[in-house]
Amino acid sequence: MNLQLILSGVGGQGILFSTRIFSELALGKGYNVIGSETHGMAQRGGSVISHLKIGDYSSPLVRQGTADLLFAFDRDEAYRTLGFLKGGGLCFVNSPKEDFWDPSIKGYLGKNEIRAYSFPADKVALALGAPRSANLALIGYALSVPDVPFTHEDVKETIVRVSPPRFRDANLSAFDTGYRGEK
Amino acid sequence: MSEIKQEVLLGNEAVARGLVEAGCHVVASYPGTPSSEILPGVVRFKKELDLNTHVEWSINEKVAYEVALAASYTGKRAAVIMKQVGLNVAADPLMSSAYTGVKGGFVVISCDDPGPHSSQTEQDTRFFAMFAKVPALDPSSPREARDMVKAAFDLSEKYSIPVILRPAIRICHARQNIDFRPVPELERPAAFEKDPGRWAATPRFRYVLHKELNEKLKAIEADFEQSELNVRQEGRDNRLGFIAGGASYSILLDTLREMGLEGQFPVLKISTPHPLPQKLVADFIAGCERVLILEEPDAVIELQIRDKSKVLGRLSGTVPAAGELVSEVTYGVLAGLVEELGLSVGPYLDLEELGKLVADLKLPVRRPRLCPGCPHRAAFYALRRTLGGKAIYPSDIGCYTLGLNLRAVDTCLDMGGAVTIASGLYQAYHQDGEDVVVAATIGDSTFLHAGIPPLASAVHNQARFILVILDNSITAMTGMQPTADSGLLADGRMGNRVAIKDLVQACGVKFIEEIDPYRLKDFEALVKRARDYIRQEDGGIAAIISRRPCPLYDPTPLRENPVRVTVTEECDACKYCLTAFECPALILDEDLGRVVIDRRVCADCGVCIDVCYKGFIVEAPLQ
Repeated sequence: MNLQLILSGVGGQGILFSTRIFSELALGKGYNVIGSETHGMAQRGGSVISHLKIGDYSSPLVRQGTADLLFAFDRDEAYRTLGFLKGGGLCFVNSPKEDFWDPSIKGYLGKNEIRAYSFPADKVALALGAPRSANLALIGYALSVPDVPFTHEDVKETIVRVSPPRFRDANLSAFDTGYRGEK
Repeated sequence: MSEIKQEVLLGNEAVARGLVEAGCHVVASYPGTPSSEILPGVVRFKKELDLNTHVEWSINEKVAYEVALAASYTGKRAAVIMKQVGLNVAADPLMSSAYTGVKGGFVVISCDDPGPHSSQTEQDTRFFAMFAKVPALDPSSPREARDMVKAAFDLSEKYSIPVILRPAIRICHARQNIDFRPVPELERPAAFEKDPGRWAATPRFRYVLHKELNEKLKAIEADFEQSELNVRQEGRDNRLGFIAGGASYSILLDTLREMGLEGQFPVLKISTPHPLPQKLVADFIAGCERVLILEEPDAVIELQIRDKSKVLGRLSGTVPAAGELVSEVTYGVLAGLVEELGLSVGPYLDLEELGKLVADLKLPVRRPRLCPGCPHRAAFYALRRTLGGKAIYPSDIGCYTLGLNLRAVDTCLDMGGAVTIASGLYQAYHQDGEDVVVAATIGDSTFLHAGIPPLASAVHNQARFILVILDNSITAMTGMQPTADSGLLADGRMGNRVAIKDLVQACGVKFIEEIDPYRLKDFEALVKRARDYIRQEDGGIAAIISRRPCPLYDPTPLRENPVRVTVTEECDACKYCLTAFECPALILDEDLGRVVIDRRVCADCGVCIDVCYKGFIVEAPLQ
């Protein structure tokens, strides 16, 4: 497997933890992983972006126009990081409104055959009383879409393994609710 | 076959793993992005493996350098860790120790920040290696960084010389799966051998040591000609060749692969940028028609190449002369050269079009801001509200540089610069007989790092200004490292406390007040008293120690005494709180036509109640 992911959003949305889920999963399957994350000044409420490359890669950075998957935990950051996706890439956006893309961008998505999905992950996680697990609700939802090269069981097992004990149940319930697509 | 333990490590943790796998005995550091996670990584392995490693957060980089260097004097393996601008602070011992040499292996880990992402300059540590005449190693991945630590120690011991390891930010903050290797027990009882001609060398001996250093460098360059750290890969097409090192090398490999040009052109990987193996490089260039140099942040390899007639790089203008060589920049440079050769670089998306479309959306700019509940915000607000726009606000390096957004930060030069710039501003205006209030802000860790001699000097020279020490009890920006004021040690044990208040007093400051910045009205009254003091006949420097722990580090006070606020329906959306206080938890609800509290991020500090002078922000009724 050679796979490039971008996870974007703002500080505090669990982007680094989400990246960890995918990298631990890939490592468990015997793949090499390399990626890059944001630290320092930029973390203070600024945009946060995480690159993850699974398979045969040397550098930790994903180049614009080459990512297979984009997880955007914030709508504005989805716009800002959309350029990372390759033609035919898949994108998952945390958005309360399903049809939120600006018409001008829809043209770009169509032309480049990018399949964009949205899911109200914040709302779902809040309703579960686990607002900090919105990231896992979005990931859960993504796994219900065909062509996402991770299985529900594998991701679930990884969440159990790497979640801090006090967040484990909340993470799992957000993940499963997202997977069932319950809004 | 036993399974090799593997883990996905941050580059900095990989360096830490390298340190323990090299048997390093003493590790000293001062935190700074992108280097901060290395020492905590060493602490982790020290605890897991029950090692006797001495680890310390020193008060600054010069201190860290010298503490580690002394351990090397005794024959132990020692390392000092810092960010690239930290090496400026440690430049004095670096230059001198290059001459004296070392005994036990001594590695200087200085992490560069091309971009820059979190620094005041894009300076290149490899230039420091040239300046000090010491070797530098440049890893191109976390795994390689781990391996190079041992190579650096071996080199240091072979030639009794400090060796610089220079991981750049894309190594430090990359994550990669790393296999763990055994950790040796390296018996090195401390044994300092007196040798005044070396360890206490006078200028006459220094001349001798300089000649010795030059000889060492020649021998090291000869080693580097043969070193396995430098790798030459042949290509099918010699019309173009590449020389690259560090993260730029990895990005080059991935870019060529994406273009379908893997193995097309010869590539020389240089992991030893100083001293440059001149023969290896010249031979490689001789075999190519043109050679592109990819390196960052500056042109250290390119500069050392003597015959530049075939060389393209940052100096020739082919590669941008500033900024990080991220994948997009590398791709752009490569695409131009490759297409000139009549080769295709494969399909690509029209990202310029998308860029324009996204720009047209005019998305709100997400600039970094102080966190909700940040005590610095309250202090800045009180300062600015009391002293106004005519006062001058020198500040310093830390989270609180973001006081810029509250218009209470006018300068940010370097560590400790708040105190010195305040002194200099006072003297410049005083000379003209002008009364301009200067109010400096500096964090607790920064004050301890570089604020004490400036304060003593300012008192001595009769400067007058308000000095606000923003004491949040931790080094917050770089990830919560303990300060000397807290007394906590790097491994979590309790050491001795060095109280900031005592230090300020010892510098000769007579006006010292401690206050909780959440008490906004009291803080404003105190700032007025401080202003009166700096103006009165027998006045001087007025120091305010603004004390309240960073809520990210210690949320207990807020958890125990939350002040839940709400905005009344009378709010007229004047936006005063949004601009003057700039808390992420205060947001304008366009539909309601008033400010509302973003419950997801509000820290329940309650300070904004005093900010809305119209009284529309109130304590929420009990539920």
